[in-house]
Amino acid sequence: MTTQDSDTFAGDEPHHGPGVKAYLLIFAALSLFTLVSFVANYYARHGTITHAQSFVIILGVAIVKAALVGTYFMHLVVDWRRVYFLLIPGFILGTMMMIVLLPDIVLAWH
Amino acid sequence: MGLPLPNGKLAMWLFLVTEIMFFTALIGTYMILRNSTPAQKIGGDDFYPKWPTPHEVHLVEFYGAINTFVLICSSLTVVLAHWALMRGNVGQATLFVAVTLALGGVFLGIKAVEYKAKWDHHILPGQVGEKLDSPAGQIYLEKVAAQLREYLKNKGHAEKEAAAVACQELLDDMEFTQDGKMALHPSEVSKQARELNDKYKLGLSLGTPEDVKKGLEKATEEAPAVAKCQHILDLMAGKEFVTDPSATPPVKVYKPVADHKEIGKKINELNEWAEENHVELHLYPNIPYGNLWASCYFALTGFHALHVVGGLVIFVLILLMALFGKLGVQHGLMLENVGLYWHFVDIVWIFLFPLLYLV
Repeated sequence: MTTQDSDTFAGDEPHHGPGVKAYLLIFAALSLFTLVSFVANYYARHGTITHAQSFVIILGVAIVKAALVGTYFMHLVVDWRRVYFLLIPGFILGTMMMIVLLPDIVLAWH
Repeated sequence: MGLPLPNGKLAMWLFLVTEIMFFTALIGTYMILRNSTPAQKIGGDDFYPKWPTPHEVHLVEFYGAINTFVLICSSLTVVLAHWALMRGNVGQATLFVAVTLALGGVFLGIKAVEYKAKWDHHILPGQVGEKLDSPAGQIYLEKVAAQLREYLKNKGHAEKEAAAVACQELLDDMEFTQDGKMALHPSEVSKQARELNDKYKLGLSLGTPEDVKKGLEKATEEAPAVAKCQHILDLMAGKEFVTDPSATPPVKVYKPVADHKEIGKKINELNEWAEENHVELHLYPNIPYGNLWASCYFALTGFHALHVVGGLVIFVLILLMALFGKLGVQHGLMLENVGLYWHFVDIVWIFLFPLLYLV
């Protein structure tokens, strides 16, 4: 690869992101959250908790996991201020894409 | 350029934004299709078609959870590879990249096992029977009837059936009496078992009567398959003989054409029975919304798997660079960008796992 020269931003030292300890901690949290999803699903299947409860737990856990990966593994903890202007419109448009179809297709049945 | 970002990283984030839109469209479409199925019974019909459960479509939650864990591990190894490279430890970075590559391979391997299960059980778009009293349902039933006739035409199956009946007869003859003695003399058991071996090539063990019994029981396991296949064909043709309990003595009476839903239920029951008894019989299943489910499943997991393959190709290239001594600290940003891509692939799976396997 010979792109390094053009890829290095002048005056901006390449950061290393969080340290190994932080990475291992996030890894442990992600593994634990995966287990939580699996267990919540198990209890929902056996009637200990309702499907609505398990739905909230499982999707909540997925959002937290995605946030952890983004924040620490993708270095958004230091890069957010540099890329937020790219990500926020993406999230807004993505959410809108789903919401516009809801009234005709989904809500008509419920 | 006025942005406080290296060009490569800016390009990667821009690419990832397009990927976010791509997967949001796919996942959003799946969620909308899934929730657009009726949430209650329609009219007075007792048939309430629901979105397929993981069990119905041969999806094992545990495999999904393992794959989630595998991708989380690979996310860790790829950040560690970047961390090691930034400290000039090329050897350690290469090792972490190799482990990431291996973990990606494990992910695809488990995915391949899952895909094979779908293939074996005909959980494929266009192959699943849904509303059987429709023209499409009629075509589906004809396809299943062809499968059943094919199974019955196989001489091996008919012979196995005959062998099983003979084995069952010998088992009945061997039944132990109340005082613990066997109805047949052990030498007679051996003699008859040898005859069965000669006639049907069963390979029964001729040791103790207990050994013979075990072999006989195994040989009878597949016996009802032929009868069950014929039963469904009879139901389809409108021929079923049932016992009339009001008659004295009970007699077999003719039952008119079976209900379509009943036939679909019997097809699924035979599939489950065949699986439990390790019988090689995989009929096209009858699963409401099964085709839609299969289309969504293959579109979502297929595109995700293609992204995994893309990542693995990049890891192989990095390993080749390391092999030829070209990898160095100057590639830290490149490895960070590859890591960004790989973490994004992980995040997509973090959502696909619960949406497809759990909720």
